[in-house]
This record gives sequence, structure tokens and C-alpha cells, in this order.
Amino acid sequence: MSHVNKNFRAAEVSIPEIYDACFEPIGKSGWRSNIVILLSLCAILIGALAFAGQMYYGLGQTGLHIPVYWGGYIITFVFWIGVAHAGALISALLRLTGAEWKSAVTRVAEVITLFTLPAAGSFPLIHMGRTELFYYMLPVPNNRLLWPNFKSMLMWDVFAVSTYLTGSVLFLYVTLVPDLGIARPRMKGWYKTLYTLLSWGWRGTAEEWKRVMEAAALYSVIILPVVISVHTIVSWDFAMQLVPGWHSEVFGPLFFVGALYSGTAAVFTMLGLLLWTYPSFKKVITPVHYDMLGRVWLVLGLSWAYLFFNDFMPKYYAHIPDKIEYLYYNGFGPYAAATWFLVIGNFALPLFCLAFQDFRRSFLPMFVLSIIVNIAMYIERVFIVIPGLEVYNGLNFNTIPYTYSTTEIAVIVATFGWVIGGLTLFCRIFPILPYWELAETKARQVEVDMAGVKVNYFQAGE
Amino acid sequence: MKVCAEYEDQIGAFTAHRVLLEKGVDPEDIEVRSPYPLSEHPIPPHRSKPMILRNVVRVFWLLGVIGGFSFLTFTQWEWGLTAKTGGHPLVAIPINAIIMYETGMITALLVTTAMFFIETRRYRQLVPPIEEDMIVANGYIALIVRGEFVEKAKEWLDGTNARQIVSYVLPLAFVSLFLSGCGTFVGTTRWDNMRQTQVIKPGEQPADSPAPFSLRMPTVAEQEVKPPQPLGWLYYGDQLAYERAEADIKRTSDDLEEQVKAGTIDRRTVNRTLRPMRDALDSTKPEIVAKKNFPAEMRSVQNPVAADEASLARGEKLYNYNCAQCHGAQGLGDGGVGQFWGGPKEATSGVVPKLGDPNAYGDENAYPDSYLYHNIVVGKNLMPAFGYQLTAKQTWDIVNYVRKLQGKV
Repeated sequence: MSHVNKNFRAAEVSIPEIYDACFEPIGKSGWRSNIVILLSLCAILIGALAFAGQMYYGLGQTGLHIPVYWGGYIITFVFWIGVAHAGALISALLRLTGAEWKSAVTRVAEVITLFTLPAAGSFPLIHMGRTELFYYMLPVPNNRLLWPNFKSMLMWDVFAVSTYLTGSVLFLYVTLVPDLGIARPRMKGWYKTLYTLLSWGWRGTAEEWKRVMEAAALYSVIILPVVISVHTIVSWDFAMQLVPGWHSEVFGPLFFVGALYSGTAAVFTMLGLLLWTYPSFKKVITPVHYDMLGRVWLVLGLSWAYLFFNDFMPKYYAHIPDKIEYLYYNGFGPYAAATWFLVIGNFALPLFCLAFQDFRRSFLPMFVLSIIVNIAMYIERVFIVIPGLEVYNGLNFNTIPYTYSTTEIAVIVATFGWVIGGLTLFCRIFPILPYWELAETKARQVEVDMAGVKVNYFQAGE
Repeated sequence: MKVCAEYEDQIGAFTAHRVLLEKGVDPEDIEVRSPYPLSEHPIPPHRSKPMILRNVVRVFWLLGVIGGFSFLTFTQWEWGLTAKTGGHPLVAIPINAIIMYETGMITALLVTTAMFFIETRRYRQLVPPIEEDMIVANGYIALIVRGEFVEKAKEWLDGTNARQIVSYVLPLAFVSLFLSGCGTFVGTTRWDNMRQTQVIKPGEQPADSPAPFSLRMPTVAEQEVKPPQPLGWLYYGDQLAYERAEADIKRTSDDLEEQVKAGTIDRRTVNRTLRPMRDALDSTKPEIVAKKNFPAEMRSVQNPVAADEASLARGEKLYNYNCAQCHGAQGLGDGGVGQFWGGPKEATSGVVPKLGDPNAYGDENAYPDSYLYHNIVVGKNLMPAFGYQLTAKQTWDIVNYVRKLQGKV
């Protein structure tokens, strides 16, 4: 039986081939990406019309009604914020821990953050009803002497999300600068102008590399606490209320780990789409990358399951009447099917599948699984927001269940269009795979023959 | 003149770099450019000053935290955050901590970016090295030598594992103009509409006003109390007759629906019966109309609330809460919002009436209490109607307080 080296190895390609793979989609249009962009544009237009209707006729266009005053918009807000955490996890955490296999997925994750975070941030504004007055949240001196109420969790959200958005955009840009500078002389047409302007005179000297590594490390260190604060504050929007399904002490870590879990699922979905759209990426994204990220995904899934059961087991065991009513309403009420799909799709199925290395190393099953987990994580947010409000109903005569209205569906689908279309468009203009990071991994890999066994290791960097 | 050698891997470049240093080439004359960060940094000593990036970010992070703290201190000073935490001042601590944390972090992120661009441009030469760009773009490492040893360096580098060695004549220096032109924004901002003087901030919600919103159902006792009808508002139409007619239509409609189900009449008969009833109902629909001008019958209405200590205290609170923004704390028409609209009403200028001036509204015959009351309820000129927000008792309290400002009590 031959020795199988299970450690990470870079793809068997030379550095110029990595360049060709990374910059292959730039400036080219294919029917696959054209269809995606066209459908996304349609979705955005329909959503814009629906939003215009909502602005004209008011929030009555949504399915919201007292006592269910938080609905689809807030659910999707939490969902997108969760997906946006992929960027922080994969870029910052793996960069700090020096994981060599990160290089294939860092920028995919950062770009997911770039597009999902504005999508998330738009939902509280849409949900406000009078969106044109959003600037009341900003501390701008005015005649009416209005000032933000800093006692409100939603104000903290404004600060946290805007900090995270600023940080992730800058992080993405600074790590993109070397790629733009390197590729600049080989670009043609307006791409050359764009790359020249954005690369800010990058020359690739040792001083510059030292600074870009330093800046990336600083961003990682700063963004990791910010990202924890973002989703913890989002969880406090719920946990600091007195609604039975919301008021839970474990919500902070549960939301954060759930966000990383769904964010990693989104990265796998995105990677699957990329490999389908641009087959040349298969040269640099190998099953080994999938295996490594799959292990992280498995650990996150286990953590999520632990916290999830930690959330409802004490409620069940303590048997406090209103909380037990809430649990039965979830498990055996109108949302029973969704709840059990959540348990299976988010817990049983992924943890069973991901335990096998062969499964982790195969592209299509991982893509399908990532979509199931995404749907299940969306249902988890429905599970958190809606039933608590419907059960804890001070108005005993008002028992109409909440359903998504057409307007809400159109607006939510529009944000999906924005994210998917935006990512596809980004792939055409900028390198979605980080060329310099892949090249660095390749250049540092050293293979040594140790007593007949080939072992590869990576030279330590700065 | 300069020499440029091209290497496939970093080991070759490092070897060549060491060879050149051993031969006595000035480290300042050697430059290594690569498409990825190398595992060693061949930086000449005069350039390898300690990076100030980290320390600058640390300092600015601290400044961001201090800035957030100052901002929140200002907020609490002006708007009373800590004072309004329901008797639990410690509640303000986590709030302050969160905002300070986020301001510090966002400052650190922005400063990191700024310092990255400043530091990478610190040693950059003005001549863009166009020739080596393509080498780096093709994925190879470029080693460039300038200075007195150029001719010899070419020979020395021949021994190393270079793909190719090229020598260039240094092109004329030209400055990249488009990067040097930083726009300067010169302009003025007008802050005229931001005047804020002598504005009374709300101390607290008046104790006798009801909670603004409540999800609670009214109790049986509360349901029996009729809502007060403010004076100065007139009803047209008969509300009770309208409700009776509505109930009649409902009953008739239900009867006819049962007959339709039984099959004795058809749907058209139902519509033919109900439509004239509905038309008749619409014509008698009552509506509530505000009478804008001071009605003659109001002149004889007396102030039912005595101007005692309690009433004046309530009136002061309500006045500061609702009126002082325009009319001023002393009723001199000099409130902050009032100044925005045009300031105190004088003979030829201004729009805000000086309520506190005994000569302006103190004449009991020309301007009785009921006149002030009416104008508060229905509004006048720029002033909005307060009848929706204040009860009759509260309004009379304000009238009493205005009389006190005029020195009439």
C-alpha cells in the first residue's frame, strides 16, 4: 500500500499557466455568463418596480401586520449579513493562521462580501417604509434637532455594518492592487486604463510586497473583531427583546457561527458556479482545496449544531410556558415541515456527507450540498424571526399567519440578482482568483525526498 | 544605462543578488521586482527603515476611540443619553463602548489604506520602468542593476541561472503627470440655516400625557369613556343615523345572500335592492371639518381651568415641549426654529408672534383666553394644529402659562 500524502499541495501548473487561468475570463463574454447577467438585470428591474410601488402605496404592500412587524426583509437582511461573513473568515482568519491553501478562495470570499453586504444593508432601509428619510440615522445637525438614538440596537447596526463594509472594500482593493499592477502591461483597451489607474503605480519591488503583506495582516487583525461585533449586534436586535423565541443568551455565538457556516456554503456555491462558467479555473482550483475548505466547513457545522441545540434544549427542559408554546409551534405547528427540513438539511445531511473525504473532494456533490445548506440557513432565520412574533401575540384576536407578499418576493429576488449578476460581472472585469497569492504558494512549495517518501513543505514567508 | 536579468524562480534571483553584493555593487543600485512576494526581502539597508505602518495605525486607532468618546460625550451633554436610561446610568457604558469600538476600528481601517499607499510610494522613482513591466507580467523575477558597475554586472550575471540578460539605455526622465495632480477643493459652505440659539430641549415627557402608542386593548371602563370633543371643531352630519343605516344594509345583504343560496332569487335582484341603499348612505356620510377662523360663539367661552400652581407647572412643561421651539422660552418669538422662519414679529418684519409681550396679546377683550385656545387647537398661518396631540385640559394649561408669561397671573 503506497503512502498517500494528505497534506496540501499546490496545483501542478507553472506560474505563467496560473496567470493564464486567472486572467482568462477578463474582457470575454460567454453565453453562460451573459444569461446570468441578463436574468439578474431582469430581477433587479422587477424588484425596483416593486420597491417603487411600495414607496408609493406604503408598507401595506408587504405581508407585515401587527404583531408580525418583522418579516421577509429582516430575514433576508440577516441571511445576507451571514453570507457576507465568508470574506472575513476565509481571508482574514486563514491569512493570519498561514494556511497555504487559502489562496484559491480568498478573493472569491471577499467579493461575495463586497456584493452581499450592500444587499444586506439595503433591507433595513427598505423595511423602514419611508426610505427617503434614512439620513435621520446619521448624526447631522438639523433644524428639527433630531439626533440618533444610541440606545437602539439598530443604531449600533448602522455603525457596525458600515465599518465592516468599509473594511471589506478596502481589504479587497489593497489585495487586488498587486494583481492589477502585474497584469497592466498585458491588458488592452480600456482595461489597460482602468488597471493603470487602480493599480496606483504598482511596481512589485520588495518594499512594496513587504507593505502589502503588512497591510493585509493589519486588515485581518482589525476585521476579525469587527466581523464578530457585526453579527453579534445583529443577534442583539433579537436577543435584547422580550419575545420568547428571540430572547436567548446564546444568540450572539449562534448567529456568528451560523454566519460563518452559511458564508462557507456560499463560497462553495460560488466556486461551483465559477468552475462551471470558466472551466480553465480547474487548473488552479483542485479537489485538495475543496477538501481543506470542506474540513473547515465540517467544523463550523458541528459548532453550529452544538449552539443550536444549546439554544432550545434549556428552553425545553425548563418548560417555561411561553417558551414551550413557541417550541411546539415550531416543531409541530404550521412551520413543522420547514423546521424538520432545517434540522436535516443543516445538521444531519451535511455532517454525514462531509465526514467522507471522497465527498469533500468532489465538485458537484459539494455544490448541491452548499445549496441545500443555504436554503436551510435561510429557513433558520425564518424560524428565528416569525414564529416568536406569531406566538407571543398580545392581541389574542389577531392570528393571521405571516406570508410573503409579491412585493417582498420581488425585492428579495432582486437582491439575489444583484449579488449573482454583480459577481459574474466582477469576474469579467477583475481577476476573481488572486494571481499573486496562487503564484506565491506555488513558488514557496518545496518537495523533498525523505527516505523514499515525497514530502512537500512551504518555505516560511514574511 | 541599466542591466535587467530575468529569473524563473526566486532561488536564482537570490543567488544573483548575493553575487552582486559580494562583488561590491552598491545595494542601492540593485532592484528586484517580482510578481509575488519573495520569501526573503532583498531590500537595501538605506531603504529598510522600520515600517511606521503599524505604529501609525495604533496611534490613529486610539485617536478614533477618543473621537468616538468625544462624540458620545457631546451627545450626552446635549441630548442627555445617560440621564435617560431609566435610573440605570450603567446602561450607557456598553453603548459608549460599542460606538467607541466601531469608530476606532473604522479609523484604523482607513488609516491602514492611506498609509499603505503613502509608504509604497515613498521610495518610488519618477521614471517609470516600462521595460521590466512585461517581465513581471509574464511571471518572472526581474533583477535590475544601475550605476558604475553596469558593464561588469552584465558579465557577473552571465554565470547565474538567468533566462536572459538585457541592457537598456536609460530613457529621458519624464514625470507621470496624471498621478501628480491632486485636485484641491476650494469652496465655502453656508451654514446659515443651522442657527441654533436658546432652544429649550425636552426635559421629560409630561406626566399627565398618555403613552403615545400601545398594543393593549382598552379596558371596559376605558371603552365607555367618550373621546373628548375639542372646542372649535364642528361635526356635520349625524353619526348615529349613519351607523344605523350601515347596520340595516348589512342585515338586508345577509338576508338576500341566504335567499340566493336557497335559489329563490338571483344575484341581479340582490344588487338592484342594495345599490340605492348604498347610494343613500354615501350621501349622508358625516365628516369632521375644522373651522379655521375664530368663531363668534367661542368668544363667550370661559377658561374652565383655574390658573393655580399645578396648572402653571403643567403648562410650563407643555409650553417648553410644544411651543418654545418657535415662540421662545419667554414668549419673545426668539426660538431656534422660529428664527429659521423669520424671527420675532415686529412692525415691519418677522413672523413669530411675541406671546409673552403683554401689549401684543394681553388685551382681554380683543384676545380672550378662548382665542389663544382656538388657535392652539386649529393652528394659524405657519403654526400647525395641536388639536390632535393635546387634550382640552392640557391646552388650557398652556393658555394659563402664556398669561403668566404676559404677567397677567
